[in-house]
Amino acid sequence: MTSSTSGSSPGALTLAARQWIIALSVFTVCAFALTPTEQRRPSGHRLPYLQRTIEIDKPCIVMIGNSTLDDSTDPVMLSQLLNTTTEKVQFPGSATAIWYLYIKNVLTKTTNKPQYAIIFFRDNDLTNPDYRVTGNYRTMIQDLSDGEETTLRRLAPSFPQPFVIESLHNHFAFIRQRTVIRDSIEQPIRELLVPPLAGTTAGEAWRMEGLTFADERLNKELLTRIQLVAEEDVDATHYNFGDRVQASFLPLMHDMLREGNIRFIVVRLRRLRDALGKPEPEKLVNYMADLRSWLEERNIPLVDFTHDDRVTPDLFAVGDHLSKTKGMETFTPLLAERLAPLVTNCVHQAAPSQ
Amino acid sequence: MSFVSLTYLVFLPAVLLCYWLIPNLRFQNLFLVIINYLFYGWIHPCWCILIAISTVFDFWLGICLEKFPYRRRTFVTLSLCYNLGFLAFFKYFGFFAENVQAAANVLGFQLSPFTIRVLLPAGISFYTFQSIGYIVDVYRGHVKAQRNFIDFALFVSFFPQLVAGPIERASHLLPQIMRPRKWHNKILLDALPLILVGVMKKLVIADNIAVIVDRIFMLQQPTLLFLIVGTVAFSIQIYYDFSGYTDIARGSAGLLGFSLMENFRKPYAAISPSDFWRRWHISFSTWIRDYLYIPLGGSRVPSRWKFAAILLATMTISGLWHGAAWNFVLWGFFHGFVLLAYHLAGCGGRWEPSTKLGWMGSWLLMQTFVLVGWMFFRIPSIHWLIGAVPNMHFIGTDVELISTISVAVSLLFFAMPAAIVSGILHFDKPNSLIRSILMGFALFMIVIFLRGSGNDFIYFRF
Repeated sequence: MTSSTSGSSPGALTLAARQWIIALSVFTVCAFALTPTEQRRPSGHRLPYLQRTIEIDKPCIVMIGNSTLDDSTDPVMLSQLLNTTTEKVQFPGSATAIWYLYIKNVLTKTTNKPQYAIIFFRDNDLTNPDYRVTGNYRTMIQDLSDGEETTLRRLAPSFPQPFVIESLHNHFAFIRQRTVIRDSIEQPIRELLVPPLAGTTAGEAWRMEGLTFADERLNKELLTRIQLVAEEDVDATHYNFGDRVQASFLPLMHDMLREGNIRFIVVRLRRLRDALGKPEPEKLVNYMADLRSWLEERNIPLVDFTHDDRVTPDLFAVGDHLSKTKGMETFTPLLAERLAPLVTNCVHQAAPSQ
Repeated sequence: MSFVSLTYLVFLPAVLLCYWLIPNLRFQNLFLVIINYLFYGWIHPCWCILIAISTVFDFWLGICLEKFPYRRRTFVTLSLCYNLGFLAFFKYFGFFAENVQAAANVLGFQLSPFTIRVLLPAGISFYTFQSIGYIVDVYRGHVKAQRNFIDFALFVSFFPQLVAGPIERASHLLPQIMRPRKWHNKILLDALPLILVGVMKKLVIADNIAVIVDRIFMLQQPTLLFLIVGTVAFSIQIYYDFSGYTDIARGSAGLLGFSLMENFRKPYAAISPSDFWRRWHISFSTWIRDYLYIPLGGSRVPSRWKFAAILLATMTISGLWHGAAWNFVLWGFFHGFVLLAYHLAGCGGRWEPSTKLGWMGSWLLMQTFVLVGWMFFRIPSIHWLIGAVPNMHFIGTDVELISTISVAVSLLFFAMPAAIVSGILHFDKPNSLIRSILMGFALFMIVIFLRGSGNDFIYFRF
């Protein structure tokens, strides 16, 4: 017998128990004392606003995507060029789970449905349902959810949180309000120290910090490298279109839009990799061929900018994001040119909307 | 598996429960070996193959060293070639290929890029050095070759220190593996607060300061003041990150009845470079001293030039050990240069100033050198530094100055929990009420300040 679970020093166990009881008591007191009364944000709380926006603006074309859409397309210019009304709906960093929810819970439920829904994507985004469904994206998803969203939970297995975490969130306000508590500790300290040291208010200093660390002041090369590495990890296993498509949101989005009488168009954006003349990975070439056939079979137009050399490297700001000035000014007319023959149903005369 | 993941929170108690219920030392060790491989292969199971090959090879070589003394040199060379070759392939191949290609381009030759994407196995630098240390110790006759394979496999792969050290010596860890271990309730009093301190250091201090550091070193053109704040922030981040890891490792090992060596002894109190290396990453610096610096001749060589060359080479290699990039090489060389300068000025070894003022001055000077070193360590690349320095202003515009102050206040805010850490370590009597209260605050702060699922430990990359 080399080990024993019997206490060789009985006092030690009592001391350890005492130590942890006191520690947990302090923890509980802190949690109760510092947690503010909260108004819980209900799931799907953004839906009414998003629906109302569509109802009021009545766009003929709705463009859905993430910041690559936001940085590349000017909806006002596009509306003028196409002589129609467009709405740009961008969720920063979003991927298919969020686009699916937007189509399901906003677009198909509005009374003034648009004629066209255009999704802007890169490479294999459309069949990557589990991409970007955790962290801050989870909150975004909850804000767009209508009920349990069982399909989403099934197709994006990373979305449901571990049981323990979900229970802690549901039952302990101080865990839900972590960031609020954290700010309530940090803010007084900033307000105490920043004004005498910086000669300005804490809020103004905060604003200046934002200016100092604005995108255009960051090292473009580094940011691009970080982005490429991050995406390389994600992309590596997801190139088999045949396997991926049935487990993705793509067929569901297509079905919902068809039932809602909304034409579905997809736009593949040019990546910095393509603009720099680096070859597409072979797996991606095969994947795209399969995606193209799948879309053709369903009569879904694909507008592919990957090989459009008019989108030059100097138009890119950070990673795959075009610059909001030169990049957007150049890309929007190119988009209009490619979309014009596809959106012939749009003959609205209404003023363009943002 | 990360020490600061939910998985580990479940893994460790489950392991402890099973482990202490096993009545026999042999089975306890076997159980731990299985657990070590489970821990190591959690994300990439193929990594287990690498460590298994390394274990089998060094176990066999250790026995050969004793059985065939007339071939000792051959066996030790074989082990060094194998272990360092392994390390070179996985860690430095890409770096080497890239630099050969760049050098050829400079000379006018066009070499096509030859790169193999190799995933760097976590902790390879640590367990490789630990295995080399064992082989050299057997060669020198400092320890006997291990005849029990399970015990040796446990020595190489012991999970608390597998991924980022401390790099244990065979003479310290092997006897603990072979000796029966007994549960004492006192283990709870020592190990659990240490783990709590480690988690707090990592999740509350290091991870939050990492955000500040990353932002500053992402700037295209920082001011000098920004660079200083960023470097100070990084010095805090890396210390709390790595010492946090070590605390969790030592605490976890403690719960299993093992005692791991100390890795940090207030490094930022150092007054000379020798003093700094006696306090920072102790298991690594003593390894470098015993298995590289002294065998090369150390300070006993008659020629000053040779001494300088040995010192600079040792420290440059230690820099390269940290990562396959030129900034780590520069960091190591810089520390070698500072060590050499102090040595030549008669302030090497255990030198101490005689007056309080001298002590203050020495501390200030040494910490300035440490910070310059950390700047080299943290910069994204040498290219970045070369690009930024020529146009660098000291303070910059009003907006930049105010931003720097604002960032410095944030740094101060996130560094303040260090007081709680120090308190828990200072009031170390088991019945201390203050310690218990501080532990409560620590728990609260971990929950409030936790960022997402936590970053990887910095030293996991090495």
